[in-house]
Formats: sequence, C-alpha cells, structure tokens
Amino acid sequence: MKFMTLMRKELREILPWILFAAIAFLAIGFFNITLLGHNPGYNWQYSGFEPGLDVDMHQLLSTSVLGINSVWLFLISIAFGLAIGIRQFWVPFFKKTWAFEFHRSINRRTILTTKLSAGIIAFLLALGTIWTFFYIYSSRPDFSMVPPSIRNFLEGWIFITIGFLAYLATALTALSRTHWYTTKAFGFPFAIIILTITFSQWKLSQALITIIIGIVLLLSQIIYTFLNREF
Amino acid sequence: MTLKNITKYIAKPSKIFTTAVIILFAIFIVQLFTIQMHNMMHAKAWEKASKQTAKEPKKELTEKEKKLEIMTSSKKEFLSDGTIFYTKQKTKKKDLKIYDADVNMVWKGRKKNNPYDFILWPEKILDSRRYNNLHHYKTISPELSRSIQVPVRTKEKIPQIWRYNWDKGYFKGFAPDGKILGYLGSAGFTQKRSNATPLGTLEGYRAWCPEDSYSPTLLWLTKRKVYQINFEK
Repeated sequence: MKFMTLMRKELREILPWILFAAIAFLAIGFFNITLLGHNPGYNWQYSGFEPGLDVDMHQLLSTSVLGINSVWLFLISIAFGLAIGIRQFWVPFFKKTWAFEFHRSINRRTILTTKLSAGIIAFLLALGTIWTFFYIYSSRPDFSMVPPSIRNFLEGWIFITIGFLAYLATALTALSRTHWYTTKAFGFPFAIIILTITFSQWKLSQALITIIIGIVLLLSQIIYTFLNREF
Repeated sequence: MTLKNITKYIAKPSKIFTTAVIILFAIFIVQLFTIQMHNMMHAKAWEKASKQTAKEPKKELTEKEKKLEIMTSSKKEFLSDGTIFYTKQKTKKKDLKIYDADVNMVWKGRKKNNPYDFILWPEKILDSRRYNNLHHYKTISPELSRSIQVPVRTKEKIPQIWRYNWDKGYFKGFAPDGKILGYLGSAGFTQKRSNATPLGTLEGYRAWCPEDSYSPTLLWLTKRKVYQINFEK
C-alpha cells in the first residue's frame, strides 16, 4: 500500500515530463509519417534501373520507414532521461525535500525502488508504447510494400535503454557525495563511452550486452550511494 | 546479508572500473590529439627529408634483388589451378604491369587494355572502402541500420522487392500487398522460413541490369562462395 502511494507520488511528479515527451514524439512522428505519405515511393527510387546498366550498390541500400522517426526517438530519449533524472534526484536537493521523503515509516530501499520503477514506467509509457505504435502503423501493407524489420524495431528499443542510461547517469551524479572537480559527474562520460561502444556494434545482442553492463555498473553505485549517504 | 552489504561489494569495484574506463578513454583521446598534432607539425619536415633522400643516387640492384623487390611490392593474384601472377599498378596513371610466376614481365600498358583481366577481381567488389561501407550500413546508428533491397521490376511497376536480412543471411521477398513471397538462401528459393539457409558472411556485391531486364542481377561475394542471383527466375 505504502509502495503504491509512493509510486503514485513519483509518477505524479514526473507526469508533465511523460506527457511532454509522449506528445512531442507522437506529434513529430506523425508529421514525418505524413511527409512520407507524399513520397513518390519505390517506383521513383528505382527509376534509374535501365536494361544493360550497372547499378550502384548504394541505390540498393534502403532506410526503413521507421528511420525517419528514430533520430527523434534517440534525441528525445536522452533528453527525457536527463529531465526525469534531474526531477527525481536533483530537485529534492534544490528544494531541500529529502528529509520530507525520509520522514515516513518507509525504508530507503523502498523509496529508491519506487523512484527507479517510476523511471522505467515513464520510459515505457512515454516512448516505448509510441515507438511500438509507429512500428505497427508502418507495418501495414497499404503504408509500405516492405514493412520495417524486427531489427529496426529493436534498435529503437536500444535507443530507449540509452535514454534510461542517461537517466541513471543523472541520478548518480546527483547522489554522488564527491566534489564537482573530482568524480561527481563521471556518470555522464561513462554513459557517453557506453553509447560510443553501442554505436560501433553490428549485432543487436552485443549492443544490448554493452548497455546492460553499463546499467549494472551505474545502478550498483546508485543503490550503494542512496542507501549510505546522508541527506 | 542485506542489500546494503551486497551493493558495497559491487559498488566499490564498479566505481573503480568506471573511473578507470573514463581515464583510459581520456588518455586515448589525448593520445590521438597529440599524434595528430605531431604529424601536422612535422609533415613539412618529413616532406623535405623525403625529397632529399630521393635526390641521393640509388644503389644499383642485382637481377635477383630486382625480382625480389617486384615480388614483395606487387599484388599477388591466384588462379584456381594455383598459378600465381604478380600485378603492379601506378594508382594515378592507371598503368598496369603483369609478371608471371618467375617474375618475367608478360604485359605492360593501360589497365583498360589488359588482356589478362581474367586474373583480376572486379574492382567494385575489391574496393576496400566499399567493404567498410557494408559494415557501416549494418552498424546501429540513430538513423537505424540500412538494408539491401532488390526490386524485381517491369517498366511500369514493381511486383516484388527482396530484402536481405543481415542477421539471418538470406533474402525475404515481398509482394505489393505485403504478402511474403518466400525466402532465398544458399539452397535457392523456398517458401518456408525454416528451410531458408544463409548465404554466408557478406564480403561485397555488385549489381547490374541485364540487357533484357529492368531488374538487377547480383554478384554476391561471401567469405567462401560467389553467387549470381537473379530474382526474376
């Protein structure tokens, strides 16, 4: 019961950001898809293929219809991670409300669990559901002759987990007790390194393993710091 | 053992690891920057030194040394029966020299007039930049990985499109109504996905439209095999 009450409180606090990210992604995505509807399509793309002519290999390479929204998903996901990380872990420092959070008869573990669970739910609601919707929408035969591949769909989910990594990096930086000029902000460069390694992978499984390692390393430090530090 | 204790044993090593990774990464970037700066600063000095070396009189090589020099500096082309040819090309002039297995020159001239073109791979397949591009296209990026799609087309319409699956290594065919036409792998065409077999690791490909067709035919080079794929048939 207490857990659910806390969860509602956390979700209520980040609700404006959830709505903002969801509406922004939905609006930009639909605008892009409408533009794609005016695209002359494959007949135009392959119009240069004439008998007896060489075909440049680049003419055969195609970007998925989901590709038009994936850049936005990537950018919004990182921005969303930073925003809710700041809202959940930094704002209580600015407003000095940590003491209020801890005064209830709830242990720190539950408080942290609700914060992180609310973060995960926020990503699923704001970006996950809309990305899945775009995938289903663009898989319809009347939209495109070749539907987007499962690989492209999963790549979108990797961008969402990258956003979650940015969220954890923000949380760790906020909670860290070290000074600014030492290791306080090390969560961010570490997230950037994980991002760089992920973007050099060819296999989805390798990319996913890289992100999971990054999440485990950041999460273990967040849990330890949150349970031990003084607020 | 409480969560507090468990995380203590994981959090501290992970913090050390994270810090070490960041420091190593920073050193790597500084190193790259330093080397680049060093190269830029010394480029002129090296150019001057190499010009000076070129002016110095060269030592006359013996016949054996000349052959050895050709063998080491040439590209080796093998025929299926094991015969070796040495080829040497001046990149700017497009002049080609071909030597046999005993390093005797068998032909010299403009590359386009080469009568021994059967010993060379098509340039488009061997271009290393294109290999890298292929890997680049399947790398995860914000624009998503790209796929190879081959249309089967007439002058007016496109009745089929075949998409290559990077992970599975075979083609999947789509009709205009979105229906799946079948799969094309190393064992040929099949309608069941379970029967589709991978073509092998892709190394490069070349495409052209035959004289009587608007649909591209592919020369598909994998690590072990070369396929000629015509999607119309």
